[in-house]
Amino acid sequence: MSTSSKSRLFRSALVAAVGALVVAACGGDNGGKTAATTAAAATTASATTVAGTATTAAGTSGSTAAAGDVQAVVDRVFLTKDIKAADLEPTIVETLTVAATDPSPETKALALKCWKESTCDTGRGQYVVGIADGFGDNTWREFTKMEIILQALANPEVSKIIYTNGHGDLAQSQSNFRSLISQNVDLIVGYFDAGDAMLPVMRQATAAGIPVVPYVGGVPGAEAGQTVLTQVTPDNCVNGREMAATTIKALPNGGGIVYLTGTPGNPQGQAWQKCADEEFAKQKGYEVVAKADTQWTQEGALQAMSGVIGQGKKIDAILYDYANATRGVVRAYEQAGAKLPLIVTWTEDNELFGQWESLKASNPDFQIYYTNSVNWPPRVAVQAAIDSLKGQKIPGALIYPQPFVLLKEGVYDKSKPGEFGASTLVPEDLIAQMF
Amino acid sequence: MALAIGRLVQSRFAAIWMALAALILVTLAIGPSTLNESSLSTVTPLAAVLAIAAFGQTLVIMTGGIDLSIPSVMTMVGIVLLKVSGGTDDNLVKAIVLVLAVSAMIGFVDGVLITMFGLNALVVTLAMGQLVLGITLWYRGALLAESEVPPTLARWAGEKVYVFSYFVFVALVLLVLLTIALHHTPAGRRFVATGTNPTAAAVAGVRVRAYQIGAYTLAALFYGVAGLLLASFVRSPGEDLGGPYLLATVVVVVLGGASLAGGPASFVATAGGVTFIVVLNQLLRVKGLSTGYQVLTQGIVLALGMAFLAGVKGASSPAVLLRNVRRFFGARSGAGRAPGNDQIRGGDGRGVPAN
Repeated sequence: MSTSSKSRLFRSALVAAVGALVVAACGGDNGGKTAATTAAAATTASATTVAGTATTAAGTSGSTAAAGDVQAVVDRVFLTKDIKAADLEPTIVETLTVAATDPSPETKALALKCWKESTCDTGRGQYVVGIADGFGDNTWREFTKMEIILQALANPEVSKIIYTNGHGDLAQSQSNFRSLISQNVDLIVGYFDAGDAMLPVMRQATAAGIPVVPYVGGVPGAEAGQTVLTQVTPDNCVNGREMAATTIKALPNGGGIVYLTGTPGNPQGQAWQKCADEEFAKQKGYEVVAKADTQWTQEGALQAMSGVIGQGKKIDAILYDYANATRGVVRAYEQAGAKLPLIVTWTEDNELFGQWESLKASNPDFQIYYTNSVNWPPRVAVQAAIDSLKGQKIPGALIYPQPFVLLKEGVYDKSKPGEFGASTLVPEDLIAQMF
Repeated sequence: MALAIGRLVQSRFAAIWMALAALILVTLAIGPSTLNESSLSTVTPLAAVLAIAAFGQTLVIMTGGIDLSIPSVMTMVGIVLLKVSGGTDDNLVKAIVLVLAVSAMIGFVDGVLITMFGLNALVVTLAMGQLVLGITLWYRGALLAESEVPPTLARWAGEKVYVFSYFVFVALVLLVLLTIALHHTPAGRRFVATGTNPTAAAVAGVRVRAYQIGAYTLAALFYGVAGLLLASFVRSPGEDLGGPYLLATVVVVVLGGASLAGGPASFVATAGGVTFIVVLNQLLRVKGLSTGYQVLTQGIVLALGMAFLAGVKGASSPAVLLRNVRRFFGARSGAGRAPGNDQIRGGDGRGVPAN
């Protein structure tokens, strides 16, 4: 063989090797590693009992003792005592009733195993749970995954849990979804970042008899019964009104308001901003002086606020529907040497709270209103899907409230990571093992 | 004097400064607050990060290549910095040394693959970027216990002199060193020869492959520095840290007059390109344009800027300049390629003899 031929052959082999490495590195989570084989029937007895109680008591909140437990869980997830369990959708109450029971050590061990692996056998039951996460690469998604797993394991009917991660790529997300269908899952839950681009695959699953339940981020155009079983989401318009009402309460004399949201034209941002506008319009003295997009990133938020600050207008409040990226807003103000205003944001972010702790002394107007981390609604999604498989009728929409609470001292926990949210229902000892 | 000024004006590296001057005049007219203290205080850190990354890209483009692994390298730097330092100052130096060493190694591997095996630079660096990102996500694990960079680094990253972040001074030092090395050292001149005509350089005894590999290695080191500064500025770098820097560096290098086919470039002009882009983006944000209009305006301005650059090159009169611009937009005014419409030169068929 000539030298040039050898060189070409070697080059081809190298390209193939690099290509294989790229595929391996980028490969989704389909298939995954070896499944867990731990038999957990005996250890889930207590969870089974609670789940059985919850499902046979569908539409009610169970015994008096369970009602007290459920209200405690409701207080915990909403970060306020203002939400009553009796005012919530029955499926939400049922879910939180199940979640009120602390899982056994064996269940926690199995949950941790399932959380680390893409495919996990429970050793019992008959339902295969499919999780189709559009972008699973941040802390919120990892906690959400654990919440779903814990809820699924609390149902003895669940035999297997398969998790897929689209890594923010539409083609990957759609491929993952189809893969779940071909693996004959019994239900699919997920945060579909790609939005209505996922409608075709969702219809495909529903047509095959697989209930699909999006959570937190709804999918516009997904009809209940045809495309999805139901959707577990907040009412973004109500959230917008709440943000405005919170701002009006905190700034009774009016002021300049800034709206921030993530990607341009995202439906969540459009919905809450429209309703916030309507609420502000009813009052005198409130003016929306700027709106900007941040791409849901800290750097994007920093750049957006840099432009807004550069406009030189008086800013008294910033309304932004993502606490994590709000850190970028705070950094912009720090860098500009300007005083921080009121911030009203969605979800929790431990590091943002830390920023507030360190800056509040020098910024007297700096207050933060925030909501719970909404890691728990995905539990409702999986519970609703399981209940539907058992013949229960599920409403076409499961709407949950999202009250805003004022950040106070002591909420920031230095021992926890930046994206941690205190409203998570994952047990503390399990959280310690997740890091 | 007039001849000197004429030559300066015709120089493709001067065009960006003319464009920048025009932009600043427009900014002062329609959005003067873009250049006020608070506005500049927030943009200078990120401008310096872009400049440092762009210096690295300039080195690569001078060899006729292109590097699309920048976002992944910067993201890797942020994650490794967090994990190795543990968020404390105790391991800060170790973390910094490690991230810079790993960055350089990535560039070295890129350089070897492209130069020794003749692989296409665009494909190799894109693939390497994916590989690095995959390894970074695996190394990061599901959840990171540390979420903030060491406090000393975070504090330093927030410091500034008037409106100029400390990062600007880092970028200026690197700019001066690169410019001196390129124009006033034998190695710099040999490097320019390598990019201008590798065959002729090789015949002249220049170790072309060594310079090309060195370019990718040094460039990756610059990306590492940029990633380090950016991570320290945002304080809690995530898996999307380097995302915005994929094509931005290429844009500013080309705005600075460099040819994608390789050859001479000016780091000073690259800095001019950075300044242009940063001022333009900030002006659009200050004017409150929606994202759609911002992107549209950026595209139009960039197209006009590129046309202007194409026109300026070798233009001895306004008529020639206009003809050059028309050629750039593909008008049928003559045979041959439009000035500045260069192809990215890949590894195959470049006829670089062995050293």
